[in-house]
Amino acid sequence: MNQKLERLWETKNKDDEWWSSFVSSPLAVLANWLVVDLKCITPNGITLLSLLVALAASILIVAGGQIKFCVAALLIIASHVLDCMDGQMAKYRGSTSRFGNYFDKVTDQIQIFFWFSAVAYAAYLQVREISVVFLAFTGVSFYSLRVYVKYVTIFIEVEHDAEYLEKSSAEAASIKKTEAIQAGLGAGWQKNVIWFLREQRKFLLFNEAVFVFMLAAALVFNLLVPMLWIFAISQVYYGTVRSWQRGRQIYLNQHEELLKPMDK
Amino acid sequence: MGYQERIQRLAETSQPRQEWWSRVFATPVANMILAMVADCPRITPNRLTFLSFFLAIATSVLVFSGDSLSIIIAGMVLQVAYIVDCMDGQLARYRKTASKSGSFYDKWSDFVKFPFVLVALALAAFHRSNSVLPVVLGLVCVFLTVYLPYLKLFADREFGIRLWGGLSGGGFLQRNLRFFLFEEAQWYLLVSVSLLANHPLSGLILIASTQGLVAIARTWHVFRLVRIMPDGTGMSEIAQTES
Repeated sequence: MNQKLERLWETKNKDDEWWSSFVSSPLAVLANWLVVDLKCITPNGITLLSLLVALAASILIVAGGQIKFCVAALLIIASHVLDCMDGQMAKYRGSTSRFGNYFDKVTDQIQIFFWFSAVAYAAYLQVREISVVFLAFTGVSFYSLRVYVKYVTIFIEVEHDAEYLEKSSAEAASIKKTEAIQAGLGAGWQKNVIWFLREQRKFLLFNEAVFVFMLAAALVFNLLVPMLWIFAISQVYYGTVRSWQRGRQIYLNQHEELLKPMDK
Repeated sequence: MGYQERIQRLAETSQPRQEWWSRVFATPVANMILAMVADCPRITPNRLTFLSFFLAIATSVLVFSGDSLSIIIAGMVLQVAYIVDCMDGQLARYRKTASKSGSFYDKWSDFVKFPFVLVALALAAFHRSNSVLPVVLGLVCVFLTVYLPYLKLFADREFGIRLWGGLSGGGFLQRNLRFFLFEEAQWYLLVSVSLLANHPLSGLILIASTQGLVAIARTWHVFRLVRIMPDGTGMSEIAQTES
């Protein structure tokens, strides 16, 4: 039994995003421990379930009311756990696939849009001011911009050097190796505490995992408008900064020092 | 170099793959203007990219102001923005100064300017009708406008799928079927038409429905292609370990 848990722990991403690394991913490992050997459950099935749970959360947010908000918050967290489960299960079974990867990424993109649109609508009903909807517009657009500049950069660089991605990924992997702290099941509690504290810096990246926390907290405490402001401002900041960094990287032709190719 | 020679060289550097509206309108006009000014050193591809970006922002401001005259003017300004948008890459190829950073700048400004115009459209339509419908449609349009280029690059880079490659040829059917791709050219056309008709809401409906259908069709198309692909090494593996 313990061996199974250890093997599952191995499938956890080593450098996860903020909320994933110490909440969603460990919970996903536990959930997988229960169901990973059931043949009727497939990674793609879990991805689909994750999307459906995410959509259910959006519907509850639109329906409105404090109780529904709290249930929606739980569903958002559950959807994120499921989102972590699919990849782990695929790795555990040795059945990672291109299709699974694609399906996972597309659903991620879609659910973020649904969540923030639903929250914007609920916030509009509360304050009766259309400007809150445009906070969501701004946030979603600039968040997409972050993802988009990443792909545009890869697209442009690969056109000039077919091995760009392989080269820079190797570089990124070597950087990660030196940075990674050993923590987890086998390590002592002190190491895990230090690791946990250091993980908190990742909050400032304001990516998908942070959105899950922000959305859930805003729904539980009914602070939709302030959350939308934080969302919009953080995404405008990152959209602008990443654009500038990527543009500079391409202009100066120095991909080593700035950003790893998959960062957004 | 004379006018005729420049026309000749510009025709040679034209991109083979064009959408319907770009083929009948923007590219010919862009080439005509370029034939006059292509050798003027003060006009650079990057400045043109900026001008197009600026004109699109000006369109949003005009739409935002809300009165009928500015909305109709906005429809025309947007088409000028489109012509200028077609000029920058063409000029860079003509001068053989196409660069990675220029290409990045061009793609970046395209990506950023569309949501601006859509937000302005949604606001103008909202103030007219005072219902939530235009706002919801606006959100859908913004999502689709940022999702489609994302999907295109994502499918290409991680799975090597070139979307609708079969429609890129010069045959009669291919040229005309491209109308239904609803890419950049159609986007400019639909928005401009709705502005010239002084009816922002219809623009939102047109974009949400056409781009929505395209988004569903494309997502499905990539789904099917990725599904039959053999699993292997390469981009997807790199991406998987990173995500």
